[in-house]
Amino acid sequence: MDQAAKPIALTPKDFKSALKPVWCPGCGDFAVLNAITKALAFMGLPRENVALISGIGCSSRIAAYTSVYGFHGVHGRALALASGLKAARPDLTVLVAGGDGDGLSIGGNHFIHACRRNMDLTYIIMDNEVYGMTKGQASPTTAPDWTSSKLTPRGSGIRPFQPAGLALTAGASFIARGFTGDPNGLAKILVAAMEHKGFSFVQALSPCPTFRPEQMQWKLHVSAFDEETSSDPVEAAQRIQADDGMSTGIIFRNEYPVFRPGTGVDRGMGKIESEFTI
Amino acid sequence: MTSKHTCDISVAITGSGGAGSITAGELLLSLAGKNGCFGMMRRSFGPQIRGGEAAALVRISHQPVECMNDGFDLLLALDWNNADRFAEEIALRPDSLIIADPAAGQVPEAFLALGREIIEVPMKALATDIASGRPNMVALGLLAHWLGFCGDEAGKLIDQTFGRKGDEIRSGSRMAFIAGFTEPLIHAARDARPRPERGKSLFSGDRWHFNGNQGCGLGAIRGGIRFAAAYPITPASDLLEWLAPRLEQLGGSLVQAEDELASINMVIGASFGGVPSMTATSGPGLALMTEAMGLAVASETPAVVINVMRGGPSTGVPTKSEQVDLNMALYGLHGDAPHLVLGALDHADCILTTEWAVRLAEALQTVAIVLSDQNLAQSTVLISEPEYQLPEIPGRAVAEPMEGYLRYEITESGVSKMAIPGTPASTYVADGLEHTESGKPSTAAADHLAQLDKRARKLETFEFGEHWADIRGEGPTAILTWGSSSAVAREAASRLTANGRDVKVIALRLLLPASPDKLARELEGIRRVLIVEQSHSKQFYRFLRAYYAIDAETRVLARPGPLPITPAEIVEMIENWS
Amino acid sequence: MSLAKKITDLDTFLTYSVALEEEAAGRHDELADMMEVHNNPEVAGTFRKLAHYSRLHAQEIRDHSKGRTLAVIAPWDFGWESMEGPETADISDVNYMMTTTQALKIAMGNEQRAHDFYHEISKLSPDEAVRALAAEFADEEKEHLELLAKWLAKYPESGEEMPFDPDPAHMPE
Repeated sequence: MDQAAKPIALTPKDFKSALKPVWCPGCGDFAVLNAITKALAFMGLPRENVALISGIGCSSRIAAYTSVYGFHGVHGRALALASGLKAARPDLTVLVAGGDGDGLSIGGNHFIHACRRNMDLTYIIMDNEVYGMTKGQASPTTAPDWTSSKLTPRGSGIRPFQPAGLALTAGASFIARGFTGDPNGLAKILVAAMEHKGFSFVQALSPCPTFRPEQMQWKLHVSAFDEETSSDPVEAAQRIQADDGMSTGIIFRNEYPVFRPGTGVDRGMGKIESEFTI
Repeated sequence: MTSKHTCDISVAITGSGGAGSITAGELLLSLAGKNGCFGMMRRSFGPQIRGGEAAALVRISHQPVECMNDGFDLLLALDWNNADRFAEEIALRPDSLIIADPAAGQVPEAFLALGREIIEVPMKALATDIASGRPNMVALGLLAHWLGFCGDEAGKLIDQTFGRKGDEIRSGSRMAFIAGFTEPLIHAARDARPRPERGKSLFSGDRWHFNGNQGCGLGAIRGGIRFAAAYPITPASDLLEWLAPRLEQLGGSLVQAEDELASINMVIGASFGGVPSMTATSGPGLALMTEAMGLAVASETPAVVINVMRGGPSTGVPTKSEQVDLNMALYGLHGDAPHLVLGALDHADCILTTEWAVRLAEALQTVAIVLSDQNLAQSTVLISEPEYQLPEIPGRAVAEPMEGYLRYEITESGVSKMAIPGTPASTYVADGLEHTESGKPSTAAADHLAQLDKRARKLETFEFGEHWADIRGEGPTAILTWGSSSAVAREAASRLTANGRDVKVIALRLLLPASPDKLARELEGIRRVLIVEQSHSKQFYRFLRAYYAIDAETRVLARPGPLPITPAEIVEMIENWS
Repeated sequence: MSLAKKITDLDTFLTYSVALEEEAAGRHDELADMMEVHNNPEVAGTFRKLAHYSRLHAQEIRDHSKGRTLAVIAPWDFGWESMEGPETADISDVNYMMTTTQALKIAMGNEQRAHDFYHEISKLSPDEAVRALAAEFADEEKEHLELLAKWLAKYPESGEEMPFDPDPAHMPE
């Protein structure tokens, strides 16, 4: 982001496209869209300098609802698309969004490598612990005893990932958790995430009213972490492990080396055309 | 063309356990270059990472050559460990010469034949007498003398190659070379075959020394590629290794991705950002990339995928060549996804075809798959400096800032302007979902049809010009081929023509979109067509049957790898075609 | 400290009030859009009307603020007692098959909260002008509540439960 540019007086609405979201009424993703647009408006970023990259799933439809540049790619590969874009265009603010299935199942490998690579990206997983788009299967963050999916009628029987823990171990330099019931809090986290130089991971707890109606009770259980943000991965690990996975706040932040491939400086063809001549 | 200046000699050098046969072969080829020759070198290995058996296969000629000959005139074995592995690749004739070290034991049955002259030279013993002297440098000296090369040039070459390893190794190598060069046993060897005249070449102008992977890399850079993302895979890895520092030199970069899925998606992301981008892989990697290549087609994002084919299927024969990824390149994308498929025909053509592919992908906003193969990629040639002229091709059509921008506007050519992120007002969301002209997802029949027509039309109505194929010669018989089989076909054709049988060689460079009208014109008056390909299931033949009408009598020479197709096989098939 | 005690001057109070009403208006529009897309035109219309009223009130407050420089407060710095502004409907309370009755009850809850917000300020703010204006606004909210009650009376009683949809969920992608 060009610090010297004058902030433009855009409202959150300016960052929304004319398309009306088709998410089910009650879906947490509406709040994520609001939080993202509020954060972008607050930061005064010109729309043309922002790109939102998404995968496949209900959450991934978010790209079409914004008026910044976007790419609605294939399932699980949004982080790869975004990494390529950021490598080629380090001048852009690149946001990546998707669901817990898109990001942690098929996208799992790209997720851990994106954390490790630490490019200057902001990645939001809208976590509703289910595959909504394909009618309600268990995801890698679903509890093992959830029996409402025909695909796993006796429950998955597999312990879920803790996304924040996964991100920490994989080397992410900014880890936060937000809740769609607190869109302003989420917007504040997103501003910090975007301002952070490096890979920022934000897990947004985002209830699904259609396939996980019991999640509408989340608002009774979610609360902020007591502690301040930690820069010590050991401390952060303990915090994450000791938590029930529902506490919000910026859990961890540290300045790790940011991966920026190439120098951006063209030194000319030099010997390239003559190196094969005998 | 026969003259005392003409020579065409094929030499095989084998050895194992760190003997350095490959280094000897590379130096021999370089030496040939310094002595005014053309040539080619292939390598063959055992499965070990180091210390395995290795063969350097070298062809040296006064004329440019682009394929290996049918057999070898000389086999020099530093030792015989596991050399049986190479027996089928190193075809010896009764008049071939074998140079062996008596200390290595008996010449294996596989290489013996009646009347083959065996010269025993104690290379190991000669080397042991010299501090830091190695048998492979003795061998190089023997071969250099036998081939009639200038010794001084060799000295300079050795200095260049071993200079960095310190003075002792450098001078030890020189001395060992001299020991071989001056060895009386080799002087006594008789050979009626004309040898390269020192320093004389029939061709003026610069010659180049490079391999197919480097050629593709250079073509990519010339075409404008400045970003690559890739995952290592045999035999594409050295293409990536050549490219990485050079892209960085040009202000771009190469990112090593976590897998091929990440690679192709990174390429698409970077291209979306406005930078021409590519990846390089082989069959197993290309298979992983098919979904995302469809995304490039549907979202109309330029991308170039260089696929260096190897023996398949599955893990297959990774270090050998086959022309068996054609099906996947042509048909592997799900849905109706028109795209570009090109095949490099020879080493120089690796440069042309890749540059052309990049320019086409950018102009037509689609994915271009460039098919190379291990044969081209990992063999080194000495050829005349490649020269070519591509037609004028427009660069990527870029949109200006505008209100009401339609990314996927229906146009006559089918190409619509692409807004590059950073351009105000023209923000849009690229999508793999079918979409309206503005890019909004749509399931409407009219939108799907309009966009399908658009994506098909932009390729079908584009005038690709004369580079769709490389056509040489005239005659009632034609060889129809593609990829690295083209050079073999051309050599076969020149032998047949020399013997009074005129043969036309049509090598397809642009595979998709097909050019049925153009081929029909080239086949007018042709009575017989021989289709040549390195594929067990006749992938190329079936492609031709699908897209082209060939009225002439047709036969197919389709053989799988790992052994390269030889000119003699093609000559025989045409000569025996009654 | 109660939020009311923090609002110590008129500019700040006006900033809060405008934000409150505009956020409510935006939310009502959002809910109206949702209902439209999900083919519940009656409730969509209800939310549109509610959006309209919120916008009117926001405009009134802006008119009241003419000549004044309102504070710029980041969305997360308002310190609302609930997660969002007091008059803002909670997205998680709506359902595609909800009835107008249910929508109006939600609206009434919002108006009540807005009223309570202004009422508390009218009692607890240290600034006299703020207290006076807050009292006015509280009265207005009371009027809204009465309007809504009348509106609600036109509709049949319905409980918390959503009506039954016999069709199973669909997989669009």
